[in-house]
Amino acid sequence: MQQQRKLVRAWVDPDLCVGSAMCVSSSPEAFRMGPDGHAIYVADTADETTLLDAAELCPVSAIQLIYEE
Amino acid sequence: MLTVNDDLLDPEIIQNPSPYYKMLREHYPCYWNERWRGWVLTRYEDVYGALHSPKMLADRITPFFKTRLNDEERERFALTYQVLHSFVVFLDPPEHTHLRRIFSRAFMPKAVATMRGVVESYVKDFFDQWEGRSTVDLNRDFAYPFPANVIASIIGAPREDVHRFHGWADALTTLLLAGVGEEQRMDRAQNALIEFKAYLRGLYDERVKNPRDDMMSWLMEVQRNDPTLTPDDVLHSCILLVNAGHETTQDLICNTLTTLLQTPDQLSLLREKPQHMKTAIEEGLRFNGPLKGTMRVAGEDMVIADKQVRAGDRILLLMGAANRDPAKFEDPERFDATRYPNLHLSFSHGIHFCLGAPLARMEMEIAFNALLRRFPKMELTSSIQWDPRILGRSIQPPINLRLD
Repeated sequence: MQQQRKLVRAWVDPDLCVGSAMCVSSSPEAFRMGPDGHAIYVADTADETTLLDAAELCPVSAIQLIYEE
Repeated sequence: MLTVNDDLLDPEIIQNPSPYYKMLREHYPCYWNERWRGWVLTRYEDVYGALHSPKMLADRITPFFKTRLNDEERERFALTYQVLHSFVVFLDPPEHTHLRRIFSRAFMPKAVATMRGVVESYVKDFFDQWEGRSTVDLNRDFAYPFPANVIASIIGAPREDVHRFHGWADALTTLLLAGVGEEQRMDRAQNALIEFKAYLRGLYDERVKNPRDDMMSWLMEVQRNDPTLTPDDVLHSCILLVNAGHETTQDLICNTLTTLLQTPDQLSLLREKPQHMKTAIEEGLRFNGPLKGTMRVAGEDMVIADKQVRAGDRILLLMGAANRDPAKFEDPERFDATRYPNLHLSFSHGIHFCLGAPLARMEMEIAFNALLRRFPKMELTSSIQWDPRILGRSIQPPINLRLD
């Protein structure tokens, strides 16, 4: 069985992000819109359920979840 | 000074918009078109900026009804207003945010992936009927019925009712994408909306009794737990989905395939290396996307490319021109099936980014892989005539292909 790894943070790929702001509306504590119209991850701690939901809702799958090595 | 042609439906511009776009980009990036009575933006940077700006309002329905119609017309077309005004594409935050979040769940990439089998079987059915024929009409024999069948399956409408969707969607598209010479287009659209809504109401009532695994049932489930979502929201949104998922995909198929058939080196590259299909489809979107433009209304006074734009002015954002801006794309007039990255604006950008983009991309990939594999000798035998539209980019049927 695969060992459960800890989710550390999320990363928004600026080459994929289209600024739909879905992540900002579903997880306002974790994402914010940057000045160039792309979303950025701004949280200090990662709530796995919230981040998984944001990643799934992204219309262009631009949100990557980064786990502990 | 150059004279600018203000007739956006001039046959020369309709058949080949590129030189016109280039002239505007280079000399008049923010241009007041007196005939259209609005500003026209053509540079990538400005179109991108406008699509991302909270000062640009998407509700162009309310100003239209308030300023272009008289009291009698406003009363007569009240239902059209009510339906259009609830479309998520014409809503601004905060109303937009709520509705968009609900529908995003139905169209998120994971949900769309569950439709793969359905899409594959439709593609197979249509192309099985092409086998053994020497000529087909790409539009009538595939591009027109295929997306309508897919969207009907998603909503939960029976396949035998799909032909009724076509008429309703056509009437609405003529209204929204600025068809010309259609005096009766508001009446036609309203009649279509009345019939369409009554039809969906029937499906809805039936699902109340017998929920199934389709979007209508799913939306009703959402509605039960969310008092802000009304049955009208559900019905109107289904009308929007049928419309949005219908002709845009049809045009994307026709525009991309005909472009490829006229660019033989890129077509043979794709036949040899189908792994480039994903980038080829994005290039199809960039090169001749189904929408040349979209409209916004300025929410406040602002300056764009040194021009003073006033609150309430309407603005035409020409994605078709932005997509060929050399400041953003290298060699933009060339169709390059391997272009990457390709940050075209054909699905829009910002909060109105096309909800159906993952579905459209999947439909295209499945259809084009099958087309190229099954019909290696396919040739275009019709000459391409673009339909006179301000916002849409659509080829007049028939689009005849020789298969053998």
